[in-house]
Amino acid sequence: MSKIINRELSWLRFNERVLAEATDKRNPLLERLRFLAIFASNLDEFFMVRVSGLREQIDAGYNTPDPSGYVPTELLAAIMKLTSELTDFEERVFSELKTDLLGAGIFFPDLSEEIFSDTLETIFLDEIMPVITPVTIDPSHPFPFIYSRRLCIVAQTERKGKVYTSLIMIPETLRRVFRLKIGQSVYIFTVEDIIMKYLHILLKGYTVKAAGLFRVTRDADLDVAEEESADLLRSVEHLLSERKRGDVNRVEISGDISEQALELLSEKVDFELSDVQRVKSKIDLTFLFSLCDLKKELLFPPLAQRAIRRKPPESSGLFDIIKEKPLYFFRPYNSFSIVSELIAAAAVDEDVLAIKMTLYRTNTNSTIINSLLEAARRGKQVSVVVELKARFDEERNIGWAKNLEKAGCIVTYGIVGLKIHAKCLLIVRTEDEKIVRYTHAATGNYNEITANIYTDIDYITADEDIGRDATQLFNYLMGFTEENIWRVMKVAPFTLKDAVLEMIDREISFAKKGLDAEIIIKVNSITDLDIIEKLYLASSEGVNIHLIVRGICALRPQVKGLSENITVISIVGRFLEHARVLYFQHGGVPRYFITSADLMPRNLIGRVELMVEARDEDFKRSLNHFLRISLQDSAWSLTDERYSKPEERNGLISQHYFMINEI
Amino acid sequence: MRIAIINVGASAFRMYIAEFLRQERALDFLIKPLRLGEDTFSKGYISLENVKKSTDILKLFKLKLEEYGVKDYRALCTSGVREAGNKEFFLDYTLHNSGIRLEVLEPWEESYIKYVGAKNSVDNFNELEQEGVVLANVASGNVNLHATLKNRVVFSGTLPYGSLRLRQMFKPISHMKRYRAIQEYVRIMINSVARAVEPGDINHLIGAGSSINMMLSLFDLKDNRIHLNMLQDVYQKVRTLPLEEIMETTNLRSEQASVLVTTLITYIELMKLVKTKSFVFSRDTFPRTMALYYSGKIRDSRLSERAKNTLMHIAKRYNADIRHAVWVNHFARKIFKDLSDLHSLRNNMRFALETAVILNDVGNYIAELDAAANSFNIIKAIQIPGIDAEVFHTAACVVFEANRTPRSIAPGGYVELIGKNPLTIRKLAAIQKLAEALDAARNRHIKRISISISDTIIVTADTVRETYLEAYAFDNLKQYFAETFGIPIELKTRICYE
Repeated sequence: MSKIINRELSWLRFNERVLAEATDKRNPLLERLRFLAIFASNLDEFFMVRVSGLREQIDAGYNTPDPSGYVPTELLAAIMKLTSELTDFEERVFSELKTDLLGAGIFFPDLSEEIFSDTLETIFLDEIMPVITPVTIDPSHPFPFIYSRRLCIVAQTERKGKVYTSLIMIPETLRRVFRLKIGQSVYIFTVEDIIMKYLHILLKGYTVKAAGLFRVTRDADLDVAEEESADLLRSVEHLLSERKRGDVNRVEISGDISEQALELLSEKVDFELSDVQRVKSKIDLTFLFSLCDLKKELLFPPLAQRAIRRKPPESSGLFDIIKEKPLYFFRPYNSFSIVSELIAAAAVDEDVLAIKMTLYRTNTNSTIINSLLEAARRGKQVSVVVELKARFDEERNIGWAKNLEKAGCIVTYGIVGLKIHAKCLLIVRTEDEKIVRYTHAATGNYNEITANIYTDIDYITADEDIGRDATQLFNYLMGFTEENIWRVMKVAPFTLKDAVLEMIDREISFAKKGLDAEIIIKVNSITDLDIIEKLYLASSEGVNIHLIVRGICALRPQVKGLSENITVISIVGRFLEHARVLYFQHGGVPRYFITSADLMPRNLIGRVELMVEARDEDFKRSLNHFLRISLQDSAWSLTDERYSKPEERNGLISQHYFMINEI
Repeated sequence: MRIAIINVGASAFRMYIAEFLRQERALDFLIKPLRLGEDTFSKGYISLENVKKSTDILKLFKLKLEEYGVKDYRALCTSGVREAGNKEFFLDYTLHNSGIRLEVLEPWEESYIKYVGAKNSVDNFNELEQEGVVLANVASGNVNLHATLKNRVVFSGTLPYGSLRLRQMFKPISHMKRYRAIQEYVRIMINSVARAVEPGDINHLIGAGSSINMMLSLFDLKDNRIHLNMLQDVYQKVRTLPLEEIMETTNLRSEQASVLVTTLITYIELMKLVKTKSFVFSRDTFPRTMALYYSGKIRDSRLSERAKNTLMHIAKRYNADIRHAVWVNHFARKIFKDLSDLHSLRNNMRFALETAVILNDVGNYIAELDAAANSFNIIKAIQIPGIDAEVFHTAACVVFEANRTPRSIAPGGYVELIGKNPLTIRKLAAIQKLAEALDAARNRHIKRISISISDTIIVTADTVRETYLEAYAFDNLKQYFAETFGIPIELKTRICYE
């Protein structure tokens, strides 16, 4: 047995836990539907990003076992097997949910019911038919390119004794779901079902012998040859158009597609028949996201976000409040709006000289962006480090980048070969002839939408050392200097990993001296082998280690002789657990850190990440409270390689607790 | 006060921004490597490509000035620009394309700022100076050596032995043998210093400059001291290695690794010269030192005393009559002070006058026939860190002007130097002639003087006996004095019997 759990399989298990939320009847019905959609969306991303890399290894003949002991071919087989099990589970959950939804007046009806005929025919004729074009596959017609994640209908037809295969690609512009409201009831129809019903109209003159649906998922892992790329912005724009054209990693089919048609597709689209997954119900359940607003009463009750305790009245100075004592808060239980307010205040404050921030993922209509534009218009120096390579957000980030540049902001695109994942804001202000720097560091992005659904921790301070380091960070990111000297911040890829290892080492030394030694780490994922090995060592030396890992955990806990003193739990709930905190007992003088980094090589080596120590006693107390309550959560618990949840349903749900109680 | 210093060095651009309120507060420090010296020391000029890269860096630095609202900045170039044939083009292009006005720092000023910086940052510097210390600033372009003993300068020079310069010089030689050539060359520098100082004059070495950053990357130093065996160990390991292997062995960045061998040789040879097993160093960067210097936060309170000590030392070396020089200087200072309303010269010109007076006779050491021209040449060549070269140029001209005879041939450079400010030189020469006249017999007969100004300047001298030569010399200068200041001058002597 390997000491390491395979990261891909661990990720699939995480997605299984997401799917399990869709079965949890304590969750409102439409929220269960949302979990199902999240599961589907996650799985798409997994195939687009993770499986493609694995296939590349297999194609290259790479046959060395990974740290978990799998060679690529074995791993791919294991992934396909587990994926198949999960999609079966997904179908069962969907079926169960459809039944449950009946009680709430939400129906996925049979299209053949007479009552819907007129409406569906109108939808087909007016909305769908004008924008779809069947393509008959024959030597005189070139086979069209099949885009990633685009639904296609394959129909086998006959005319004058001759058999034809036709393809109907459903355009992205066409909406997936049509809702029909009759009284209190809502009837849901998907576009592909409507097309299938009216194929005979679409393929007039042909007899439809069989028809089915298929969808391919392609490689979407962006790989920018930055060294050769003089203009990163243009390169990413180009790659975005290429993303839809990557290699096929997954083929889903449903309905009646003949073997002959499938072979033709396999040849033309370039995939192996063995990669085909037959779906019994509906392909691509991400459309369920669009149903989550159907009935508010079937959703989680609205979250009453608490204002920051020390938030000042509007008339008094936010800067003075921060200078007096740092502000910290916990998203989404506290409102993120204070950060937006701070940037808005900085934009119009006469004493503010400069505003700098990193942008990894942000939302459309961001008030933060608007404030930055306003600041630039008022002649302040506004510098924004945009990470163009934030996966699946590249397009949006290119948009921001261009807008900001137009307004006179200094926009840079970070460091060649490193993704900028650190979340940092720096405001430079003159006060009584003196420069004062205000720094905001967080575990989550500057995204006002996800701030309501992700858990994160924010820290705003006028601490001189942190301000200096934040300045240094922006100097580095913007290419102002080659200096890499950090006072208090730990920065990946330079000092962060070593700092974590060193802190674990210290805990080991405390344990060896017979002192109590404890480590609590809350992250999204942990796969870094050096850190895992160090934690195993710490465990064997008597350090108590509690890991709260939402997603991938390659560490195998509770194994005799290896990790008896390590517990791992995974909290999956209403909010996406995203706050990353590290606690070290440190011989009775506890130290707490918040970080943007997961404990994964990609974060510690391939990204610019930030870890900031909490120096304020109140903040430390809050972090302690946050971690202790999180540890009491009736969460998924990992033993060896299997996750399980307590049978009894009355355990503490930390997210519920934090919604009610101050942290 | 917020101040920014930009330093355009031979191997990098550096910027230091600090706030000086009650105390210094560093706001930012930036380094952007760019080897202008590679161009200057090999081709003799800075390539257009590097001029443009420099401009890009300066544009970034300008953003930093804006970020902190800094209005007060100085951007100073050292040897990488100073010695470039296209220096003027470089300054002009960067100004017009970045908005940053660069100045070229003269070697003496660079040397002095580094000296004052080290005095400020190295513990016990003053005590070390009493026993004889050499401050070695090993930078990319030059090695700046400044040796002081008991508050006088025994050697000062900005020597073209910088690590990047030497690397460029010996680049064509195989890395297996290059260290030998560098060693030979560095020993020339060491020998020139050894010749200039008396044995035992220097007993301590202090290191400074960009080379110290390399040392800090190389060694895990708990205190600010580097030992000879540490350097020798590394040197033995890396001296014949190619760059990549030096980087691998030492974990230094490419730009540091490429000049490692040169730097090690320089320090090892300097330590051998001083006969020391270790040296202390200053961690201060040059831009920070400059910020402290230009903001007035560090001062050299003993500069004047050290400069005069140094002048006396030079005078002695050239067999000048020190007793006489001290006496004449005493009169010169008095006249300069009492006639201040008349001559309107700034205070730094008093030091030029004193220099002229103290070193008036040094030319005799070479030949009495052309003594004035010889004195001119000696004085013009003097460098004392902290004292503007202009002062020595003026003093040299004053000496020639005061001593020239109708047969004297103006020495090289005299016409250009005097052309800058002939009136100042004439005024000082008139005062010097007057002071010299008051001890013309070189026997200190005149003890005190008082000066009154009405229609005529009356110099009343208290003397112990009749002053024939003084009266004669005075008569000879009267015309010159009147033609300079437009007022007649008379000498009255009072014999005071002892």
